Amino acid sequence: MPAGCRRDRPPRPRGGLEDRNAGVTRFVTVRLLQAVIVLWGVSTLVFAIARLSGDPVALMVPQGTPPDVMARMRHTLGLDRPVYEQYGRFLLGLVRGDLGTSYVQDAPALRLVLQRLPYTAELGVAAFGLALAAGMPLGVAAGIDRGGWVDRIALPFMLIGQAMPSFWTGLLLILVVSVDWHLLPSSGSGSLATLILPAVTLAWLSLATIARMSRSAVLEELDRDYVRTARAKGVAPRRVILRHVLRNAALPIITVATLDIANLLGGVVITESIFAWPGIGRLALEAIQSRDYTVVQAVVLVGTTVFVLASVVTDVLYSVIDPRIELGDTSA
Amino acid sequence: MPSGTLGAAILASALIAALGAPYLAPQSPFAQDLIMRLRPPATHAPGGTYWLGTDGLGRDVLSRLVFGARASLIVAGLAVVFSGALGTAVGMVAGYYRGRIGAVLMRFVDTVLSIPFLLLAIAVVAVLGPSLLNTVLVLGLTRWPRYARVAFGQTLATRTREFVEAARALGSRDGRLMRRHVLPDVLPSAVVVATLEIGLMIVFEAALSFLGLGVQPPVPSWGSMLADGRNYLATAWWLATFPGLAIMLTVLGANLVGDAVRDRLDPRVR
Repeated sequence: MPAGCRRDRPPRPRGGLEDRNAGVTRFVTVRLLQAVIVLWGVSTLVFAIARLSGDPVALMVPQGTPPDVMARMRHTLGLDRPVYEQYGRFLLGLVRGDLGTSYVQDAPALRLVLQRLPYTAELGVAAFGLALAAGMPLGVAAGIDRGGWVDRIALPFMLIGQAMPSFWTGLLLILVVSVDWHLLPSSGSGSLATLILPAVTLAWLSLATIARMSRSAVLEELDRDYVRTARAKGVAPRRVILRHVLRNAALPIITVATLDIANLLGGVVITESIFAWPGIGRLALEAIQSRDYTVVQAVVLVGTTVFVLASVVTDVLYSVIDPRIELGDTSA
Repeated sequence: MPSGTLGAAILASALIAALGAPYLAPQSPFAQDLIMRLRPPATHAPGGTYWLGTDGLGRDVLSRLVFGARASLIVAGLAVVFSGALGTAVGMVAGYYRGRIGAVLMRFVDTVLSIPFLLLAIAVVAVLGPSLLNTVLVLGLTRWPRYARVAFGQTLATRTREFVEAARALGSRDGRLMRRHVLPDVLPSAVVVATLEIGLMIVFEAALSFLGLGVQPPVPSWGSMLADGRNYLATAWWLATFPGLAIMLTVLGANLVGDAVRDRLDPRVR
């Protein structure tokens, strides 16, 4: 269940629809504020990590930079100032959209990330859609058919799928589809043909996870009293599944799917590296190799922002889908 | 055979491979033979048979695979213990003191949870530099929040129980109370999380090594062997196949054991 949504409290006396709308507005505001706090925490963490090594300048310049250049840079960046002042400047910069400058590429780090972001978005959306579109029906079918042949085929598939690391799946796909069959290109971007293999690779793990979660969500709902009641009063089996079971099973499935966006964003780094896909994951790896920490930092901040916003959107969607969820109560 | 037993058998084989690597591996994982480069599986040679072929430097893939189990299991094991201890401690302190301390700690947990793992790991490795120990550090420092969540919830429930109240009335201090009375209640849930995490840790170690951010060559690790095999996809299929198979089987074993442990210790979730 997402933060801020609680179902274990007695329902507040309900007013009309207007009350509910006011509740939604307040809920959205509170969630956005929480998101800001989380992002502040993440930037503080990133700030602290950069200072783990003692000298952030050493992380920002190419190897072999003369010491006097580094000393000058330390001064320009204000790194000879007290830490709290550096921290203040860092946060002020973030608020103004200034994530630092890449000295390797001589450009604002944020701009470099934003240039690559559309590629990652394309890949991520394709993979997420694929994982949902294939994983959910598979899991639901297996759950309804518990112990039957669909289930018996699907279950090992899910278990094995969850154990296959995406970097191996990707290599196997290239090996079979590109090298052996000459069917699809193994790298590049810009066309549907180049998108297929990376999207399947990235979707693989999430697909198995979503399928497995859908299966257990359906199984859990099938055990409930309301299902027995519906069946006893003669509701058609098909209708019981469609109208009752799936509606209730949808929530946990959506939760798991959203939580999986974080894994997807992590998997992006690997998938992009395998298929030479020009997104932010590959940018981060290139930046590590050229010791361009400012860019690494910018990728982490942008990636986290995307994820945090995605989870706010789901929480809100949630509250709209399920009226039982109490809004606004966010005390920890 | 119940799936938990199957999983345990797989994990045990990986463990035996890791522990007995010097005795089990047919050759040294570092011995290069440039004449025998990129030979396919089951190649017979005067020195013995290369059952899984050789890599681009003429090293025996089977031997490197057996030794690779060490990096995998050492990193995964240490990282699980490290993150489990850290997360459980944070969760218990937050749940025991509640109030402002608890709120701040749990907010911090949410913050770490909301950073996509690999991105955070990359940021840390970029600063610390890649090595086996740093891999443990990175995994430990990024994977603890799940334990904190679980320990927090359990501690909240336990701290009001009679035996805790009684111990407090008898004059036990907070530290002793948490260790002697709360911890035993929290531990089973933490163990459930830990067994489910082992498989993930193995994958993450391999992922970091695959990206060149984990265990460094020439030390054999399954992830870096895959990265190596990537360069020979068109010519030597075995290089990118067997290390992946090893990862998949080990993770499958760990997941099966994890599921079995969860079903036994925590009958509510299934």
